Amino acid sequence: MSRREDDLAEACDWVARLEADESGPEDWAAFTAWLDGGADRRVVFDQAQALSLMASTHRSPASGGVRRTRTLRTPLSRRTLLWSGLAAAACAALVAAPLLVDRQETPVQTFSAPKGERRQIALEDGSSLWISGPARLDVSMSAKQRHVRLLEGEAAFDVRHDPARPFVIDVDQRRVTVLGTEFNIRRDPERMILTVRRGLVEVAPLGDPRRGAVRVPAGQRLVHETGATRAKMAAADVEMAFAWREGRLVYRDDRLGSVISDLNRYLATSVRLEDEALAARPFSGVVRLDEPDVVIERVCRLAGLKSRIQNDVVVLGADQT
Amino acid sequence: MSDRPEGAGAAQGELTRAYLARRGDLVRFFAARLRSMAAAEDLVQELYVKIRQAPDAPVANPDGLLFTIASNLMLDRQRGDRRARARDERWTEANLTILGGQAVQETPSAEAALAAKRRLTRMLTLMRDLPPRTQEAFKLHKLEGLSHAQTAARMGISAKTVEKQISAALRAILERLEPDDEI
Repeated sequence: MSRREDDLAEACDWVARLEADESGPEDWAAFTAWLDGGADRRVVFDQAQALSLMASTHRSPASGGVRRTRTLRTPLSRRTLLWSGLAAAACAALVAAPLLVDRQETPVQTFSAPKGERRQIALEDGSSLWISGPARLDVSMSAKQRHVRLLEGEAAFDVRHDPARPFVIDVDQRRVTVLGTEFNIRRDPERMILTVRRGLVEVAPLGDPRRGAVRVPAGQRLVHETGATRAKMAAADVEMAFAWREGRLVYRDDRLGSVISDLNRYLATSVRLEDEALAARPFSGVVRLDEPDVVIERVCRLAGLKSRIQNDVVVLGADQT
Repeated sequence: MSDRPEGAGAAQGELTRAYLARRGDLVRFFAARLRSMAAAEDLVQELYVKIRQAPDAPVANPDGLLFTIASNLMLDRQRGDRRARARDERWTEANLTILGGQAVQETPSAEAALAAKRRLTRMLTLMRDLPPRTQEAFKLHKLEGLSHAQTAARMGISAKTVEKQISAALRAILERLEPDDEI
């Protein structure tokens, strides 16, 4: 057996061993010793691990109706937990006929999340949606088409590939068509931003699919200013655009001002800076979206700030100590 | 983040240096434990925040200490409300962050995404060529998400044998994947 074949066999052994759930300090020491023992071992291990992780991501989803919906984290409102549990059943009963694209009656389900809350919605086709409050969207699944209307807020999509049943999203004055991909749409009054993580998404003016269609590949984002005739495409920081879905906000060489506006977007609490000049302060780091006070404490620690409450608003000022 | 001035405390410097040297390996290790690259990245990031707050004290085995702190962080996370929906979470996290998460770091082109999809299809094809028992163990553990112990119980074999079957499956698939595309 060649050196490389040995390494490959051992790398696979390591992946399987570490996944066995019993690994402790001795395994860590032996593992690093093994990695350090050959120039290409990290490369081979990474291949084996990538395969292993890829395999565990490929699970066959159950079918029928909306599979499950749940609230990821509810920083303030406890009641919504129950509400979200009942949402699937309650919303399934809602029928809004005007939206229907197919002739047969397709029920439209409406999902929403209040400010400061994120929800995951699993669709019967294996696709998943995440919405970040305040947000609202309608979903209708027919035999010919999967149709979502994003009425308000931000949503991320992981769409299962099905050429026979296109996945269509109407947002603002744009129609987004996908075959199987993962992307995020943020809809503000001023603009719509679509960020593609993998796959390819086509965006066309609503009601005029032939003209002005743009294809957005992975790693790019499309920005459409409200009322503009054209949309602009640019390279995107995909990780940042998606981080909220995993409950994280990621900043790289950013300004404190962006952090504050994101906190106001994702937390139920209102936050402002004592002195506007602080907004220009550089900020890098990861902020996990947790209970508002934990989040604020973390931002304060990373940015050298101090917080106080004034009329229900959290005010952040420079920490002089 | 590595811009911390030298001499900010010998122990801290030592631990930080060890962290920077082992960062990638810690992610590898915990990605296997957590079955998620993203969760591992997150944990290792948290570890960094933690060691920056560590008190100044001589460290005999910085690598070992890093591992201990990271393991404790992982256990802290696994406790509490997460446990009840752990499997559900893992499915979601795996499904969404790994496939995408790896893609994110390299911000791949559409072709790369397509290649990943091709690789997945190929993996599923190759899986069917595995010996029946190996295939069954791989399917139960990977595709159905059972732990090694659960897979062992289902198949009436030992957990150690499951581990061997998984390793054999990975290796057989990797060896056949290699000729036409690199992972």
